[in-house]
Amino acid sequence: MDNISIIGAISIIVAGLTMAIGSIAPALGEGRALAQALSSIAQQPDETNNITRTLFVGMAMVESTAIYCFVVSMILIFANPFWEYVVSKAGG
Amino acid sequence: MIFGSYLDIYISICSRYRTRDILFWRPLVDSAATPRGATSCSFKLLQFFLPSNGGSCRLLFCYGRSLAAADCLHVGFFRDAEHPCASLGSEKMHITPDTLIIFQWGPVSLNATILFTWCVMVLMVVGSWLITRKLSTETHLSRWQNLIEVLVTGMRDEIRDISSQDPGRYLSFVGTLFLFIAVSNLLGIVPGYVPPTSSFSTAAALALCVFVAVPLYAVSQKGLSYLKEYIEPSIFMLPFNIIGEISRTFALAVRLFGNIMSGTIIAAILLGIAPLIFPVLMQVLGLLIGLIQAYIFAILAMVYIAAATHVQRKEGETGRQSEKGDLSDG
Repeated sequence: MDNISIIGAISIIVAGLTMAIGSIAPALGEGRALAQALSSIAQQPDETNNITRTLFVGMAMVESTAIYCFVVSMILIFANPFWEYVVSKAGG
Repeated sequence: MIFGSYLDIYISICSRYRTRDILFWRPLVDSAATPRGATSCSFKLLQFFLPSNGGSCRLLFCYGRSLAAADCLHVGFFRDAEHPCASLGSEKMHITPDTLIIFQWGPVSLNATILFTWCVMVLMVVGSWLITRKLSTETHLSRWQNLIEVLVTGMRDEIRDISSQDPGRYLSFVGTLFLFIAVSNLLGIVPGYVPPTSSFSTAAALALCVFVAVPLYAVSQKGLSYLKEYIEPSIFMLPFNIIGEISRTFALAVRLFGNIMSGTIIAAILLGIAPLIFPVLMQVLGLLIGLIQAYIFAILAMVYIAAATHVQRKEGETGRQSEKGDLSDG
């Protein structure tokens, strides 16, 4: 394999790994947050609005780690800087 | 002769992708790049080119029969504009609408992000002007006035709940953020429209607005003594406070961008797999996510501002203050 093939293969594999590993923890965290919020709503139905709003904001915070992983894997696939570099070297 | 056959292959591959309405990869075959020895028509695509910024596209060809043999590996590099087949036209999957140039006039280029931002701005300004032109205080409301009233009172209530302050001074900023993001996301059901929030530039600009607005509000409310909070509890915390500010701004931008962009890209990928019913469901999910992200962006901006402008009051004063706020903005 030449350099370009190696870089392409590694980028794609790592992009998949990034999504796979990086989404485990946020998924667990979001599930936990949701379960806690549901039980709190069941205990205090009057506070539903407050709890729901806080839940949304907190979930957005938790989710941002998964979003980082997604952005990184998208960059690896569609806008890979190493790939660009090698191609510009080889092409120019 | 060879050129013709290769061109046929190109067109057939291209049209096949067109019918599925999704064009990730456009194989380009250039006669100039054909190796002398490779008279066989059976070229094999080793790897599709990866569309990326700058509009360049690449394709690794393998001519001949054996993939393993190194001497029959040929690498071709083309740019869109240089290639004779480029005029046939096809789309690429864009990770950001910034690279989608709509209009080029000399050094000035108009990309899709700016164009659709202008569209959203015009829509919102003209729409709100049309609605607020004839407001009525009677029991008969036009339905548009009703919509605006629901939106504004809802936003005021949310802001008052979060900050426990008078919402008037925050409504213009936070409300504009919410409405702009919500409208630009919800318009995603219009065909041909690309949400400007799926560009990192837009998301970063909005997050920078929040980054600037937080100290502005705090200083205008508490005076320059706000800046002293950066060195509390000790001067050593200054870098951490600043890093915290910057990283949360970055997180705000990446969250909005990532969510909207992921909706677009995953919808495009699934369109290639199941083109019949599934995209409709993805559109619905995209609308939901767009609205939730607008809400979250505005709420987080408000939470940051509220945390900065939060004044330590004594117990009795707090109650009176919030009561006054409630009465004056009802």
